[in-house]
Amino acid sequence: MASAGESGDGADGKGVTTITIISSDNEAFEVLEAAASMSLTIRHLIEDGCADGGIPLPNVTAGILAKVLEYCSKHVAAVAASSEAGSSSNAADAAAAPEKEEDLASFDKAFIDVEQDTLYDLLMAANYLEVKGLLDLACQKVADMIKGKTPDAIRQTFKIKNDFSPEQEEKIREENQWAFE
Amino acid sequence: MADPLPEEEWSNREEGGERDRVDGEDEDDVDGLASFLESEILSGSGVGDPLDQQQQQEAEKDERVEGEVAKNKRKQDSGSNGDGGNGAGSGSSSEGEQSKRVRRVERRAQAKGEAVAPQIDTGMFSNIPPELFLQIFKFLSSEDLISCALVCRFMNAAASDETLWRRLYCMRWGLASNAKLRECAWKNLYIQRDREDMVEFVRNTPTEFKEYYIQMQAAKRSQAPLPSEVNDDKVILDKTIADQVSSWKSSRGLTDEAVKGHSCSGTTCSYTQIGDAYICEKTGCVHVCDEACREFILDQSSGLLLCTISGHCFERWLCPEDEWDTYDSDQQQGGVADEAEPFMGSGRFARAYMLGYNCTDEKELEHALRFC
Repeated sequence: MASAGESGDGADGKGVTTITIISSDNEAFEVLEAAASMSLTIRHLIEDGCADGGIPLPNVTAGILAKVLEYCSKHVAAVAASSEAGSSSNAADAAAAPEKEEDLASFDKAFIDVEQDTLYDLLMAANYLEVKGLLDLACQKVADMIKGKTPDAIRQTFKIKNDFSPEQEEKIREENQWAFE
Repeated sequence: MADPLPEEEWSNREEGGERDRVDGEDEDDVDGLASFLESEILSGSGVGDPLDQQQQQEAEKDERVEGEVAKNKRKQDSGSNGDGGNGAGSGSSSEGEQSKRVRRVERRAQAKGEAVAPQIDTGMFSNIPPELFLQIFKFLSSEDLISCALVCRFMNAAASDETLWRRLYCMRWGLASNAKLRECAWKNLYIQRDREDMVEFVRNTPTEFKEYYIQMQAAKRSQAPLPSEVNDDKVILDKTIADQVSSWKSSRGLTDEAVKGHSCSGTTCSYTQIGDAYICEKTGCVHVCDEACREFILDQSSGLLLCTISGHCFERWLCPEDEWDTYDSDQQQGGVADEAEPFMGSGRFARAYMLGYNCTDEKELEHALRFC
């Protein structure tokens, strides 16, 4: 209870509080409260005072939790930096802002370039933890995997079974013929 | 090609019926509609799947009970709307709208439940809930949506979602100020208009350019929504509301540029309401909350779908008979109030709801909400 994990108002005097988050396989991660709060689910738990002794997440394994927290930490740092740059009158700072954006964009791109299994886990975790930015990123990636593919190719990529009956399939194909004219 | 879906016709007439009555008895509304539907069905309206017919009949059965459902929601609704909250005047029209919302969501839930497998069995998508599919599909162009629709039954249903097509339609052609458009089947509308456009082009272009123009037109189908358009609904606003939204935004110094590092959510942002549009006060990002709203979450204790941004509630009939048996008006109100209200957040509506909830009469309510 007396751990640094308490949510508060910069209790340790430096204005920086950390939160402990525990994965389903009992691994503990310590992160900045600001970073953890990028997850609305965690934010609500903190606000409700459930952060004592760490926040358990029974639905998320250590590997995925690590990734999610990495995303959050990187993005919260970027937001802080950009708001500093925005209010700073230093020309150099202001000029550095678009570069930092690019950095973030390439971070995101590399971050989401993962195996299908991991992508799926990230998607579900981002949904459960309500990290909107990560959810959009993962969804966009999946959408990119769908773009431009024929239905057959989509089935192959995602290993989906075709459960239409031949008549249904024929009917649907007819209805949607316009798209392939 | 095909006749308009019976559903589409039905919904258009439904609208006409609703508008004619201002302060009408809503029970009569529902009954009147129910008998109208009966006659429609018995007269063998339209072509269409046996599935469609079945859906209509089931929906119609449930119409009768919806009058009560709508009534119970009125209390909640006027509380959460926070504008004086007197049930009499504004109540009946919002109740009418609530009934409409209820029916619409219900039909969709049934469409999914009856016509398709509940989920994909195999592969990566096997555990992804339908709502999440919408999040994925909102990044796709019309062409890709059609490809998805051909993959399997579940994806067919998900890719035919009206909000997706509404966004695509409005991006490509804008929204005519004709209010009737808002209630139709957007997917069909899109396909129809695309076909018309194509025919026109082919007819009007000189032969040597025909192929070029055809390609140009076809390319429009592969235009996917931009990241900024995917989360901001302002593209689907009609002109009058869009103008109001713009002037509100400029009065607050908000531009159309996306604000970095901010994710709008009903729980962290406060919103201003203009008509059906809810504008985030920090970024100017718009959410349109009508019966096609998809920003809802499932409130576990009451089984209701709750839009986190506007506070509107939607019913969800997973299995009509069972749900109705366990339906309890106390549970519904108690359920939402007992939650620590994580999804109500600090918005104006949430505050109004909290303030108004414990008031015993209209006078107290008005008094409490004075400061909202």
